Amino acid sequence: MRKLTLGLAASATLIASSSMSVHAAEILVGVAAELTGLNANVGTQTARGIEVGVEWLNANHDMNGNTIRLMIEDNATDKAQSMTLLNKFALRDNVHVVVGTSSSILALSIAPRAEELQVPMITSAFAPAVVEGRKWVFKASDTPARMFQSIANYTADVLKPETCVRVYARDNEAYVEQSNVWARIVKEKGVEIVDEPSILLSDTDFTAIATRIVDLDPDCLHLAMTPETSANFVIQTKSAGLDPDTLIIGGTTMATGFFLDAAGEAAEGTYSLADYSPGGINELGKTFEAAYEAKFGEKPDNFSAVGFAEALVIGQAIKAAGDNPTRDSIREAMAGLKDVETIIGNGTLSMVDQMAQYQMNVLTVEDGQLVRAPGQ
Amino acid sequence: MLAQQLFNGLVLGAVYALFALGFNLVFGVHKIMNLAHGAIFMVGAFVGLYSVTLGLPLWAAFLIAMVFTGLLSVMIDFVAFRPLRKTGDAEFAMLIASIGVEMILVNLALRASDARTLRFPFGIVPVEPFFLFGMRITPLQFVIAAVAVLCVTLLAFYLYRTSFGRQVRAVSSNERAAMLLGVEPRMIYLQTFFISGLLAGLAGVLIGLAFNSINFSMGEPYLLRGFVVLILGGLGSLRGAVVAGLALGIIQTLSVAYFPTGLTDIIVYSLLFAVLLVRPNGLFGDAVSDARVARR
Amino acid sequence: MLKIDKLTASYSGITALHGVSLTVSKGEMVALIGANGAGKSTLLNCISGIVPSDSGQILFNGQELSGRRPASIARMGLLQVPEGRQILSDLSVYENLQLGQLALGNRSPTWSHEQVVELFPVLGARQNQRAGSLSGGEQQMLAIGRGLMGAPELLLLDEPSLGLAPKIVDQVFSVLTRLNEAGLTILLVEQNARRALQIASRAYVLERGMVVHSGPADVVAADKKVVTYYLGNLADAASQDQPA
Repeated sequence: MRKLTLGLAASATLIASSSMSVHAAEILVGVAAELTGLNANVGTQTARGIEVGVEWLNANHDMNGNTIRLMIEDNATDKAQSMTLLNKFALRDNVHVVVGTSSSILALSIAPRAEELQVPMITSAFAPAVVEGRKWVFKASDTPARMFQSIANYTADVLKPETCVRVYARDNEAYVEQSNVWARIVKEKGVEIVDEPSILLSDTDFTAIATRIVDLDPDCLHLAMTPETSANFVIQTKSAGLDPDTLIIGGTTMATGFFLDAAGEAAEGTYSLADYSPGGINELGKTFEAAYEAKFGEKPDNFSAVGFAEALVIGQAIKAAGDNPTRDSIREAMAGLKDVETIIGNGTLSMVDQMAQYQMNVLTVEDGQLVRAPGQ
Repeated sequence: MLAQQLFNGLVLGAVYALFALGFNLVFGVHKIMNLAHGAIFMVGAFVGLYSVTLGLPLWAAFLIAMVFTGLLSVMIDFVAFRPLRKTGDAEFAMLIASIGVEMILVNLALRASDARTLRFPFGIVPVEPFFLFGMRITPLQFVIAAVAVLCVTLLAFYLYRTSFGRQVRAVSSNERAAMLLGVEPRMIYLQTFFISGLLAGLAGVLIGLAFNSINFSMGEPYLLRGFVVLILGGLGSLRGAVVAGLALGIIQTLSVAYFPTGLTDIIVYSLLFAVLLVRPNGLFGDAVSDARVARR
Repeated sequence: MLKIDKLTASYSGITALHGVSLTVSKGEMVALIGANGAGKSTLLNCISGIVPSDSGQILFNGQELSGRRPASIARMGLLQVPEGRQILSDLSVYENLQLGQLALGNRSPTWSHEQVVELFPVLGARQNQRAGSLSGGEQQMLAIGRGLMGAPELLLLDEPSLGLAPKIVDQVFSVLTRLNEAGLTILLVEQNARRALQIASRAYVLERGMVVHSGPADVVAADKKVVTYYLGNLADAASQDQPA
């Protein structure tokens, strides 16, 4: 297979040199993914998305005749191993682009080295700090603040509750921030927050808080915590007698299989936030889903869609980089991507300050399935 | 709401009491602070879950989990505490050994579960609540309260009405004198560790069922609470464990219900300090100080 | 009944017994006297199996005791009433006596609860009290009564007079005499040598882990060295309290 690719590349080079108009080359992309360890699930799904993405690009996408050769290796959810892989990709394999980790902690630890080595690195990590003050590092997912705006707007503009209770995990900064952003926006739009209890992620017994919330009988309940804790919280508030009409709103953690599995029937009708809208927002999304299912025998999740979107960004940057793409020209092209097609958000994406911007999707659960919520 | 929250607190307190009973039994009888108790509790929840996953009925899962943790607890005594006991005054060494055991068990569970939070399948216990005096009570809450009452009664019967229990209390009061009377301490260690592990496993499955989550770190918050119950109730006092467990459950629930939630721990621990200022040996701590004097 | 031969034992790393030999025959009351730290308690604890012996033999009714666990020795009918009473203070008086029966094993009781209460009426009057609430003398009676419940063939007593008022000591010693007269074999360890020698038939004197003197109690009591070291400072008391 490798020989074949090399052969193809060689003949492509021959053609290129004879016509002198097209310079086709093999672009090397190294992926350091969490295939094992604590974040193995997220990393594996993302890597699979990238794999499907690159196959699609090589087959269908015009990258000025260039093809991508993908190298996926396991960073074991480990800082040292991630660093080793980055050095190996950049120095020994001479890759054009490195796809960094999905975990913010790992991405933050290797980003300075990518900057130093002057190799473009794209990551699906959450933390905006990954790109701040750098020019070689890119973020494939939207910023948290913008993401939570979309569900806050949806809450106030479409769902229109009068009173809400918000509950957040006080021992995790990201969840506190997520809850604060949501509350600020809905309050500006006239929603009253009647109570804001907090929990710890290690808590499992929510009966007391649940009774307190049921007693307030709010129109909506906003949760900012892990999928498992959200599920447990929803089950326990419903069991404590929460009015079935109360809107339950969460963030990205509730648009996951973990949440659906753990919450069971209690997940029905909850609102959540995702990059990807299951079923595909456009034709490309449908193509992705079919290709993914054909290759792995299961439906893709949000992480695989983000992985596919990462591959698309790379492909589009290669195309925009013109003839004989180099690390430098790819970096420049990537930074300037504007309104390009993607499968996440509402189907278009732009790079602003090296961070992908797109409109997030609000999802809801219908018959146990995540679907795009109406009215967006 | 007050009645409902008091009931919630009572159920939570019953859980704490159930957890603390076994913890306190081992401490009261053998002066061993077994900090692996939380991990044994966690293992109980996992074994219960795996049994159910294998298709066994829930009652069998309870039984298997309890026997498993009972034997695990005995094994821990054999491997970690018994060799240290032979060296004489080893209370501190045993405390450290128990932390080591805790770490091993927690890390094994971390690996076995891939750090995921698991739960019992839906529908394994009825969830339809019933109403009593305006309170909404789920069948599980009722079961937890009933099991706690049953366990306390059985343990009290065992300790105060049977010959074995009398021997356990004899060892607790004065191990050497008990030996001279023909009590075989090895049998007592076997019994107390088995019962303590059994109670931990029972609490683990119950809590895993009631609060929908089973994970490798689930024992830690309960161990911390168990510790509070132990100090508050009086070291080694089983009556104290029950009263302090219930009190802690109610205080914690009421503070969550009526105060900002971030203050719960501050309120709980401030009250603990206040109680200790008035009663340094805990609510029921006097009996133990007597036993200690006799021991010297 | 009890035959100890060249027993050596260490306690906390220090050799406490250097080849002690001693016998107690059926029906005897033997006193073991000596100064504090002479090894008296170590010897009793060796017999009871609490302290392991290094070498030598302990035979009880012809059976080797070393290597046996304390509980099994107690169940053979070799019971110790330990120093400082060591009653189970958290348990009631009644429960303490009941626990005494544990040493019976398969043997049949020689003392019923009623008989023990008859011997020490206070134990009947206080049977539901916590044992820890008894006075020192009452605790000593409880410890002896508890031993009797286990049908002892040989009763080892470690310092029964320790910390008791003279009047109570009289009571305790008169009970021991009665028990011995009724056929109970007793090995009595005492610092109060004079009192011990009054009621015992034979005596051993232990010094730094060795038996330095032994013989009939009156002979030992008349020994010059014994008088100087163990009875001398009690001469005043002895003059008030001559045996009849």
